[in-house]
Amino acid sequence: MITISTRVRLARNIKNYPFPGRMSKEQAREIVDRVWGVLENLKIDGGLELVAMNKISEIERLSLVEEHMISPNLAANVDTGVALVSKNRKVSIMLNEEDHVRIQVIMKGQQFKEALNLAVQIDKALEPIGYSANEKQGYLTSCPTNVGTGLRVSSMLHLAAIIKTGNLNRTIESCNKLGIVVRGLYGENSEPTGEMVQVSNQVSLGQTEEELTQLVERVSSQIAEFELQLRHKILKEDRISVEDRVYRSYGLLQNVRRISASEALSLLSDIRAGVQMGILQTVSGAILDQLQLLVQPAILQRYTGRTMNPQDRDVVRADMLREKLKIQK
Amino acid sequence: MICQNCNKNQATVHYKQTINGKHKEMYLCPECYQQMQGLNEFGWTSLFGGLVPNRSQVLQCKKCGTTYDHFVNGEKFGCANCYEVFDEKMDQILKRLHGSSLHQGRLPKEFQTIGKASSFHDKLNEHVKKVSKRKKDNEEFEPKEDVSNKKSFADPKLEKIHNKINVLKQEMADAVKVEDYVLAAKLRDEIKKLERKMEGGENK
Repeated sequence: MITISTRVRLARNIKNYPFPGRMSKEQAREIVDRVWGVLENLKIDGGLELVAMNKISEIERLSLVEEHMISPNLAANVDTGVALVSKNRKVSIMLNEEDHVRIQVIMKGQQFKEALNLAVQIDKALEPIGYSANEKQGYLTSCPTNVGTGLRVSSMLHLAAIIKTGNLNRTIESCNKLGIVVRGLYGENSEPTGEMVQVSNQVSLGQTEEELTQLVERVSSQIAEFELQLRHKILKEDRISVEDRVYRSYGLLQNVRRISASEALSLLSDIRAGVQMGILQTVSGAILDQLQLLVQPAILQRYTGRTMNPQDRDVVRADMLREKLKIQK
Repeated sequence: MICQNCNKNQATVHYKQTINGKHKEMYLCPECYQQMQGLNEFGWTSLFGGLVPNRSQVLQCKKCGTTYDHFVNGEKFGCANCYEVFDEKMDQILKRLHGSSLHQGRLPKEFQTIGKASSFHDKLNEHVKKVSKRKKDNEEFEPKEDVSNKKSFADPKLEKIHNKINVLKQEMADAVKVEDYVLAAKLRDEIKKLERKMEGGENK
């Protein structure tokens, strides 16, 4: 319950083409044609759909970023960026991002081995295309921080108690010593939003895919365990304060008339922790997951089908939250 | 220990070689070892690297135009060829970033020379299990003959191939023991192929 989701990413480049930073538009289109030629009929996860960045609106592009299906980098590459997305949104293959191909698998909860297996399955299917690699350095990537396995394993963790008790920095420091990076949800330098952090492997070379996956899995479980212990401790020491905080946040979300995304996310974090600690029983985990997405700017606009300025969005967001949380009463 | 070749300098390299079953073992100083190996490419580049301090400024990938300075200034590599062009600097960079410069994970099929051997290996293991079961009651299992030879290399690529050859040799010896001559012959061909590859690498 602390681990919201697991993500696995493999970076690959195709032989005989410059990396995306030095590629012509023509070459970038060739990459898309060749990859799609191999993966179009792939029977994985209900099949893939080709989403070209130049065929969808900005709101749709940003919604995909907020859903973690694509990176902000790919959304910005309107000319040649393409995502191959599976029907149930577990798989997203980004083309012409920092590398030619980035295979990404996202699964709910803790599913490290399952996510790695699915990513490797797709990787094997695409392999006949001819990857840039050598025996010494493994898979070659445009940034040497990804060379070798090209693998980044990460988990999204909800650390309400660790952050509230001021233990985040301590946690980050111990993780760094183990070769693990902790950061905000949208990559490097981003702040933790809604008390969610992303935990991932720092190195991609010199260890096998399985070793790296096990490392992230082990550290994620340890952080989750620490979070649970802290929750237990604060509940035991001062239950009334915890209950007060959870019910205040719940009351706010049921009554607000105008609210920003970041405030909504932080209140939702209190409610999520409250539900998990057995304080609030009227809200389901499924509705929390849905609201977590819906309060974000682009997804909110896609949901309502309207393009809005930030002020109008805050009003519509509050309406939406009141409506959704009323049903739960 | 003093170098067994020049009898002057301190020996730091333990050199072992097996050619046609004849074992040769020597303790050498780095200079004599280098001489024995012949001055390979690595030796020349590090020599020049020391003489021309600004050599990195002219390091440029001919395929994509990326220079080493571009890279140092935060740009990414332009193409796969950059890894070869900047090879001299790569080990250092990769060690700093990853704590290692040698890949350990999966590779595409076309690069898996050792992968091919491992399918032999699976087959071989089955044989060994069968035979050892038979042997268990009557006699003790013979200790394995050590057919490996240890050697240090300036180029990690060569070292990797050398290690592979050792593994395959051990497997070939095992295959002969269990009388699987088809497998042994396949392994022999694989070893010959790798040895040719290595000779090519050393004489560069």
